Amino acid sequence: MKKLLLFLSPLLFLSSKCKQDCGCVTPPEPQGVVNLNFKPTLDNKPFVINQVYVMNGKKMKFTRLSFIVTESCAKATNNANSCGTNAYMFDFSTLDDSTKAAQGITQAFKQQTEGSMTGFQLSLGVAKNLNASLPKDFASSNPLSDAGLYWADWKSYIFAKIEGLMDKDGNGTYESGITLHTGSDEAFRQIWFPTTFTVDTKGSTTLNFGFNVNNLLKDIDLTTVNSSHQTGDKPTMLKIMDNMKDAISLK
Amino acid sequence: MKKVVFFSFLLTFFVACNPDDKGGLTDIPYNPTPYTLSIPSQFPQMDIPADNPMTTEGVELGRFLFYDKILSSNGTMSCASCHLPALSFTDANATSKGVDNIAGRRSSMALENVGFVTKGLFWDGRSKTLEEQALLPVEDPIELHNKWTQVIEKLKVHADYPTRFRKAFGIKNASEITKEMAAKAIAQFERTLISGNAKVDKIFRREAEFTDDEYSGYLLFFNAAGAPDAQCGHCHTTPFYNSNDFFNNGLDSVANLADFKDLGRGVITKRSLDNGKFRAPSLRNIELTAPYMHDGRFKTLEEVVEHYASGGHYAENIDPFIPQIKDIRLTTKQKRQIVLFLKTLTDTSFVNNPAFKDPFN
Ligand code: HEC
Ligand code: HEC
Repeated sequence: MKKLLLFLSPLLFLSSKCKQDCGCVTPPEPQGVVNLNFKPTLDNKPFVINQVYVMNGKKMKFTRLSFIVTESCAKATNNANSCGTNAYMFDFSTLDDSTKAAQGITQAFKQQTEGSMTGFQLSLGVAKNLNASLPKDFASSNPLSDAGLYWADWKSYIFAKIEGLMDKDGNGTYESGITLHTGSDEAFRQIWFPTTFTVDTKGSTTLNFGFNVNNLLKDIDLTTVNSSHQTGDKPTMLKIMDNMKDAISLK
Repeated sequence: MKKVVFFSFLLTFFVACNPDDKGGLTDIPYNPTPYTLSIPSQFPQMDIPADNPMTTEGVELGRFLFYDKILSSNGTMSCASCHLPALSFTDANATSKGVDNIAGRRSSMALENVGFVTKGLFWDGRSKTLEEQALLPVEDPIELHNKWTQVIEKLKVHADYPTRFRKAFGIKNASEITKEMAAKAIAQFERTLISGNAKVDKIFRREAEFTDDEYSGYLLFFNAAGAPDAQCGHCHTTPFYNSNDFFNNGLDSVANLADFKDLGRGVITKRSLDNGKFRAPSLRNIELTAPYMHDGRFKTLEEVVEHYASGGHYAENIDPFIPQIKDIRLTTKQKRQIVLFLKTLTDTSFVNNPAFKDPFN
């Protein structure tokens, strides 16, 4: 008995130490952090939620503008891709004054490695394998657990939401709803930004993106196109996602 | 002298021993049984706080407290007075009345699937956890209007509760009972209130079928398969037909956002744009929870659907989906179909579940 104890106790010690120090029980957490900041603009000024804008000749206010980013990757100098597996929600709905709007929205993007990078691939929407899941499959801390982000008729997450109210008849009340949503595997888009930057554990680097709302809504007449949930609305939906690629630029 | 010493020794022995006996519970075994929730496959996992693991003994204690009038100042009401199991834990009143017969300004909320609410409890989301929430009704002047100190004193000398607290939380003496423990037990009971066996669930499990009208209502609700978009599914999403977010669904027309009678979410966030917004609650068992909305203004589901079909009342922060409902001009038949679909969300096995009922009866 004594022998057994003597033999086991160092093992026991080792294994408990292991759990604390080297993370060998669960797979290592992503090591590198790079901040992604998006500053939305409209008419070359910071984009403010619920502020009156003139779109297609009519006064309107945006009540929500948000999009999801998943499975984006940084390319290291040795050409290896370092990807993040988490999902990130960029929601401009909290930017309700020009000071907040000028700061934009920042999220700490976590990826596998640290080091020098030569470019960043931004993925707009929910990548195909993830898009086959349902909100119930995720822990409540994950943005993809939000059932309000899923549209069953498309069997897809809603990748982007553009919502607002328009004063169509010019009577001073904003009584016409605009609810443009996008989603489905076909709508997933990726943008490649060649740029050199370093990723460390503290997230010392920030990639600053511009988000031009005029480009996002280019060639979309909000006075007639005010929703996109029907099957027939697919062209609008795909157009918005193509536009989003042009709306985002690396500063 | 020696004798005195001997006696005082005996005395200390007794003094040390006796208070321990009074309320002492260590003879009762503390061996809690882990409680595994049976969560229907269409539901997500439930978040259980690490400091309040579910146990059979905890759930049972919570059920007793939930139904016990000992919680109220004059012994006339319990949580269940406003949360009746037969009504999916609501109370059939537009606004609920407390022990002093004073009506609050809000309608009681259904507690089905309350353990899955993630972004704040109550119509305005002001309470973060069930543990935090369960502390409030006891002292609320328009609810049980009591003092926790008084409730705890009664529980400590009660014939039954000290044993139950021992079995659930391992206290060694009745004097260790706290309001936080009571709240934890109530929260554990509330987490068991899972409803996922309505007709609609059976349909998705291919054990039942929609009638034609119910199916048309379902398609309208979710804008599925090319049906006109009645917009409901944007805010009342599966699997709970709810949203954890807050919206103005067009109940009141106000010229200024400060003019809402009940400012709702705005009080919590202190943003005027959130005034008059409320949580879009779960529509499961909605057939049983009339009257409807945060102030119980609509008596029937027909009135609710009529409200939405009209496009609601305008306020600066009305949700953009609401005026769009008017655009599709729902016919009388379509409105009826939506109501029929809503009734497929009724789960009688939930309201009749003996495990959720009054243990004193
Ligand atoms: C006098 C009637 C009354 C009593 C008694 C009462 N409640 Fe309630 N309950 C309400 C009302 C009204 C609301 C909604 C209040 C609001 O939103 O401000 C509510 C809301 C709740 C909610 C929030 C549900 C959700 O989905 O967010 C929970 C949980 C709850 N009550 C539990 C309890 C518990 C536990 C007790 C006993 C300790 C209790 N209630 C006693 C009337 C009552
Ligand atoms: C913009 C989001 C939104 C849309 C769209 C919407 N609802 Fe609601 N619904 C809510 C909110 C928010 C509440 C609670 C409002 C309150 O009490 O102030 C609610 C409440 C309800 C209630 C009452 C719930 C209760 O417990 O009292 C019913 C029933 C209901 N909605 C059905 C529907 C139907 C049917 C449709 C489609 C015709 C619909 N809703 C569309 C947000 C929405």
